[in-house]
Amino acid sequence: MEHILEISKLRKEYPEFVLDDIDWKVPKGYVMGLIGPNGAGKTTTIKLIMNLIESDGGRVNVFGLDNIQNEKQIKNKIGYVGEEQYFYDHKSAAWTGEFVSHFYDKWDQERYQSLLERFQILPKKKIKKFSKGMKVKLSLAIALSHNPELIMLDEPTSGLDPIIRREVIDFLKTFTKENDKTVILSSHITDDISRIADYITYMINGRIVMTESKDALLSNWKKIHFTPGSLDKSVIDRLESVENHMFGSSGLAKNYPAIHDTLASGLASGDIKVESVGLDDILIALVKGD
Amino acid sequence: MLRLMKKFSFWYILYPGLLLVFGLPLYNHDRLSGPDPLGLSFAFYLAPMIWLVLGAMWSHEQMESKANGYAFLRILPIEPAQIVKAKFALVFIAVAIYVGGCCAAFALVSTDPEYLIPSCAYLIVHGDVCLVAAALLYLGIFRLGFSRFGKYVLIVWVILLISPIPIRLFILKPMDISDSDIMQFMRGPYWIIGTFISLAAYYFLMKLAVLKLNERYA
Repeated sequence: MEHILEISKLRKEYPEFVLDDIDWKVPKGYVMGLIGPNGAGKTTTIKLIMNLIESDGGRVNVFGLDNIQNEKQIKNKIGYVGEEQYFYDHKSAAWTGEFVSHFYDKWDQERYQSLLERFQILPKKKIKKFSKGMKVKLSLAIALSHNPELIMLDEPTSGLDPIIRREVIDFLKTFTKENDKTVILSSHITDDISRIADYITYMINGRIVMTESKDALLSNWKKIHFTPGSLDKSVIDRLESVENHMFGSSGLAKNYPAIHDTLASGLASGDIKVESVGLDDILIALVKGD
Repeated sequence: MLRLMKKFSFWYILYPGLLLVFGLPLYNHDRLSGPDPLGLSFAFYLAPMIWLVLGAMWSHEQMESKANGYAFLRILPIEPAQIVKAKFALVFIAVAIYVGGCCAAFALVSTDPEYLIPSCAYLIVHGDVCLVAAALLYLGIFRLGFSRFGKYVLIVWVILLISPIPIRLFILKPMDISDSDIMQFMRGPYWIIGTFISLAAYYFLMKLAVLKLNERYA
């Protein structure tokens, strides 16, 4: 599998946080969701990839190129939407498009105008009069108008109302599939990532704890509800986040296919029930187990 | 880089407008073309106005700071060196146009090198000081950020703007140095050496500013 991004032993130290020698690969042509609680290191990682901050060690290769030596060349092929949107806000969207167009080799003015139209952004309106949602959409329009090979979105939907959030995510989903783009989407809103991602990476306390395809993840991780005595202790010991309640117990299996056969009789008798989990359940289990 | 210079140039275009407003009433063709065209040294009036370039720089950086311009430019495929070079080039061009324009105005009325050369030299020396001052102030801005360092740019600018008066009252007058003494000094080669030194310093400080901006971004 070809990788568009390869990170090895990447390190960044802050007084109260350390991004701890992370290794990470992102396959080309897929949407990678980066999930983690606040302060896990998602934004730090993305800023290091964009060379917006200086690392304390390790290497980042984007498109096979070192991200520091080839910063300009790499940024030319990345569409980036950060947590905060920075513009010359006394200027308009039309001016901003015209300004940035000079720095990108493959700027597509027609696409930019059509995206402004689609997002209902008035080209002549001053950006300082835009809402937060409008600024995110403008940022997205710029990020997508220079035919980027890699789109990096750092918590783009945080702070947006659910309607605009859904609109942005649905648009991204369609756009990335139609144009065969690689996307890295960082968020602590797992619902957004669940809707769009092919692969998921979990990041906790400055470390990458898991990277898997979303389908494999959701078929491997299941919630097992069981009555007392219906499940072998050896199986219970392999469950994460086991909780007891008035009807029995429940826990998360992180490799459900491996224990599936041992559950057959319990499943048949109804003493054991298996439930699909969401990405946030897995995140919570990983955070508790960290 | 030209595109960046165009973006950054607003205040550098506006301030020369102010120069014209202040400068034109002082442009007295009759006096200049008299028997002693530079007797009162027209240059003494025009030279301090070059500090308005620092005013343009301050206004420009204030606007960049308010608009988070550096953060916006950082995500674009632009090397920090390009940003620094564009800013330094603008200051240089503004100074060169002002000094060159004033020298050209002198040349229109006085072709006598006896007066023309020292007057232009006097203006060029002001331009040299302005360049080095601007470069040092940029170093401060890139190192500490405009929010912390901007006030010092303003202070230096105001001090330089009003400096001719205290310099005359408290330095030149007590030392009995007249305008013609200064003009006599400007007939010597020192200003040429000074200009080379200041241009070299400006280039060196620009390189240093690139490093400072890189550090600040990191």
